[in-house]
Formats: sequence, C-alpha cells, structure tokens
Amino acid sequence: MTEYLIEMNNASKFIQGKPIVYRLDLKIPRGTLYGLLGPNGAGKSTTIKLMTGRIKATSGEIKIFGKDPWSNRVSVNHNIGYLAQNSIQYQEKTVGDFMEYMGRLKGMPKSKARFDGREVLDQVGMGRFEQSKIGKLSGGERQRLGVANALLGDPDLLILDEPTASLDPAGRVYVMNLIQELANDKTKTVIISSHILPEIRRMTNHVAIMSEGSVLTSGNINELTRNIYDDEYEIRSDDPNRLMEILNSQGCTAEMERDRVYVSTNGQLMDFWRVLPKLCVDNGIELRSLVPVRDSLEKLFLQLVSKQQTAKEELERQQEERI
Amino acid sequence: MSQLTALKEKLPLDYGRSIPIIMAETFHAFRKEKRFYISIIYYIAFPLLLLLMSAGAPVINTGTGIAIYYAQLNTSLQVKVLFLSFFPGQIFLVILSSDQVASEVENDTLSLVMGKPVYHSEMIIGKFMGLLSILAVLQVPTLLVVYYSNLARYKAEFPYALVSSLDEVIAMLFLVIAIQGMILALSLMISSIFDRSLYAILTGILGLFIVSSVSDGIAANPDAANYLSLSYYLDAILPVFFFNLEKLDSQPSVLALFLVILGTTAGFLTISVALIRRRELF
Repeated sequence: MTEYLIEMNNASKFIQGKPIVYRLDLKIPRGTLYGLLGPNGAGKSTTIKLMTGRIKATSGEIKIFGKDPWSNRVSVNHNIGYLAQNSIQYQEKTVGDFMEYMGRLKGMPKSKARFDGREVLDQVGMGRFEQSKIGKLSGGERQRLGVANALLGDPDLLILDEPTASLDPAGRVYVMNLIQELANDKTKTVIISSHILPEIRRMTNHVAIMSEGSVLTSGNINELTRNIYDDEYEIRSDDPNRLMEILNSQGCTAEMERDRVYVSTNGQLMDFWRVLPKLCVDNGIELRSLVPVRDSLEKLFLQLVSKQQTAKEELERQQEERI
Repeated sequence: MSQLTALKEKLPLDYGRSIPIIMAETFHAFRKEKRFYISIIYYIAFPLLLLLMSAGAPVINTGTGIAIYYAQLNTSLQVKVLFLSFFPGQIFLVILSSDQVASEVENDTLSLVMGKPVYHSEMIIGKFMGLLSILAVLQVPTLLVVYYSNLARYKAEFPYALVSSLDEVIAMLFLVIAIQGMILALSLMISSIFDRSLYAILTGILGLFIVSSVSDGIAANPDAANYLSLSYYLDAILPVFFFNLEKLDSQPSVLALFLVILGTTAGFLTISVALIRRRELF
C-alpha cells in the first residue's frame, strides 16, 4: 500500500472571495520527486503554502506527516525544508551568519549550525560566499542560498517553489543536478513547483498538472504519458531528404524545413531517441543532432489545459444563454 | 513507551529554545541600524547635558527658611528634569520597536523564521526581550551616572540626596524599565497588526500621543478613575522613591504599580501573539 506523505482532500483557498485553489485533491507518496506543473497563476505556490501551514485552508482537509499543517506548524516544520519564491532579504547579514541563525532556529547547537551551514553552502556551490553580505549577492546566488537554507538539517521533505527562477543557465543546471542527487536518497520526498516543463521532466518522476487552482491530473509521469506517443523532434543529418522518406515509411509524419527534419512520431516509434540512431546507421545516414521540440508531457499538459478551457467556455456560453 | 512518545509529541518540550536566539538576533540587528545610534545620542547626551546645566546651581546643605525652600525646589527640579529626559524617550522606544513584526512581514523574513520550528509566542517574547535588552543598554548606565553624580554632588541626606541606598536605585531602575517595557509591548502589538513598517511606526507614535493625552486628561479630573494615568502613578511613586516619604492613603503601593505594569505588558504580548498567529504568510 502506498504511504502518502501529503494528502489534500477537497482543499480550497479563497482570497478576497476569489478561489485561488479550488477543491484540490492531491496525494503525494513518500520518497518521490514530485513536480507541481502549471502556468503562472495556477495556484502552485498557494498549494505549497497550504501544505506547509503558512496559510489556512478555507475548506477541505490537509494532512502532512499525518497532521494538519496549520495547527501543527511547529512540529511539521521540524521535517520540512522550504524554498520560497521570494529571495532572502537579510541584507546586512553575512551568508555564514544567516545559515547559523537558521540552523539554530531549527534546533541545532551553535557550533553544529555553523558547521552544517558551511557544509550545505559547499553543497550548493556557495562556500566561498560565507563571509559575503546577503545584500551584495546576485539574484541567482540568493536563490542558491535559499536552496542551502532548505537543505539545512537534512529534512525528510524538501519543498522548492520555483527553484530555478532567477538562475542563469549554469545555475539552473547546477540546481537541477543537485535535486537529482537528492533523488538518490529514497527516503527523501522532494516537491518542486515550476512552469517550465523540461525542468519538471528532468527533475521529477511524479507530476500534478495544475490550472486555475485545481489539479487536472496527477501521478507517475511515465504512466500519465503512456498513451501519448506523438513526441516531436528536430533532426539534423547529412541527407535530410532520405531521412524524411524513411521516417514517413515508419508511420511518422516528417517534414523538412531548410536542412532540418521535423518529425512527429504519432505513437509509432517508442523511445525514438534510441531507435533513430539505429535507423540512421542501418541506412548509412550521418546523424548530426536530435533535439526534442515537444515531448509527451507537454502534449498532455496542452491537451488538459485546452480541454479545461473549452469546458469553461462552454459553461460560460450556457450561462449566457440562460440569462 | 508509545504513550511516552505520544505525550512527548503533545507537549512542547522544546518550548523556549528559540527565545534567546531571536532575542540575540533582535539585539544584534539593532546595532547595525542608524536609529540605534541616534537613540544612544539621545539617551546619553541629553541627560548629561541637563546634568551639566544644573551643575551651576548652588549646593545648600544647611540652613533654614528660604534656604531650605530653594534647596528643595532645586532638588525636585532635578528629579523632574531627570525623568523628563527619559520619558520623552518613549517616542524613541516606539520608533525602535513598532516596526519589529511589520518589517519582517514587509521584507518577507517572517516567512523564513516561521518556516522553522518556532512558536509564535517564542517569536514575540524573543523580540520583546531583545528590545528590552537594547533599552537596558541605552538607559541603565546613564541613569546610574546621573543618580550617582547627584548623590556625590549633594553628599547629604534627605532632601538633597536623590537616592540613599542601592536597593532604591535598583527599584528605580526596575520601575523605569518596567514602564518602558510596557510601552515596548504596546508597540509590538501595533507592529503585529501592520504589513508595512512605516504605517506601524506612525500608528505607534500617534497611539502614544493619544494614550498620553487621554491618561493626562483623566488624571486632571479629580473625580475620574485616575488609576489609568501613568502620570498619576509617577506622581504617587516618585516621592516614595526619591524622598523616602511615607505614601499617602490614596497613593497606590509600589507592588500594585508593578503588578499593573506587568499585567498590562503580559496582556499586550498575548494580543501580539494572537495577532501574529492569525496572520497568513502569503
């Protein structure tokens, strides 16, 4: 039986009468890398704040570690590392002092807080900034500091709200690799919210797709995308015309634009990135590059959002007709 | 064994752990602020300046009639000057303390602190204790210097000596710190209402002005319940403290005054905790 770390049943949050999260059902199993995916304003951050007891649900039930987060905020926070969307604003503090302060609030003795803080800073590549003032750090460095703060105390549950926001490309890769490293520890549960599909795809194995305050679908990414095979790729080769013909003969839809072939697999070729090199070798074609243009998760996301949009428009139309 | 574990989970056994950490943080954060240095100038320079101004007044240790009258007048004037030099400092207290929670909300640092296993009450008490320690650092040395310099100057007993024993000095310090602690607690409460530090500071100053006006108004009316007035308490307590006079029947006891002050402070802090507990961190 699956053990759920977080359970949200019919949870809603209204702010000034407006539903930010509406009748949300979400179950997050222990030990998963879970992605909350959705466009800006989908209610991802509000969902995270509900989970961590920062805000109180207007209605519904929320359990984290089997407890209500709003009324058990202190005991729940012993085991949570949280990265907020906003950057850290202790301008006058040095990075080392900040980590020590946060560590001590987490219940560590002073020396351990300093030592562990230093260790976590090294882990996120911020070790050399220990004596720097936070006010002097760049946006990306502050974001890394936020990740370090979340990792402090080795929490069982790590919640990262837009962890790669305001990071440069190198920083993004660094943080994504770090999160993937954390995934090796199967006892940890990591929840990541993002609106960037490839990042969610890369960092997580479970996903909840959110839009307008509710979960459209959730579960294991492979299971969710099992029936969606029409991945799209951009291919460069020494003989694009011949490659296009071969791919069309395999049941795919291939088109050529300048020297590139754009192919939609139409669910015909499973693991396309593995099959294509073999096809090229067999036919004596030199494969120069293979870039995914749109993957199955993105297809699923767009399908669900457009379905929800259509349903909403239909409802509005019916209401207008009644009036 | 499982019952023990369940009991441990229910009881906040680690309660209070964060108070000294937040207290130290509040104290150290203030040391880096400009308003702290302005306060130092006020609390040290202003009383010492007044002391200097009164240094030219003649010291009369003996005499009768008009001489003793002027000596008493001079002494009581000094006491008033001394208290005046601290009580307008209330405005500094408000400026120092009334944005404590509001600025944390404004800078989004409250969310960071509350993201750790810290009770709301630990946060408020920690901040209160931190502010109180700043106050002690600012005021206690100056109070002691002023009192003992007066003592040395008049080197005589009543009515020329402002204080006559160490226990009275300590009691006086407690009184000053307790009254100002009450104002700090009130400022913290105001701070817990607002999201913007500027609004909290302005409301704190306005609140202080209104409370002073109302209490003075009540005190001016002999029929009114002037137990509400701070001035009344001070007028009633000062002679007991400084002149070793027996209190009059209508005057409240020192213990009653302390209890009222402590009760009010606790009340303000409790309301602050309730306000911050209701606060959602968006």
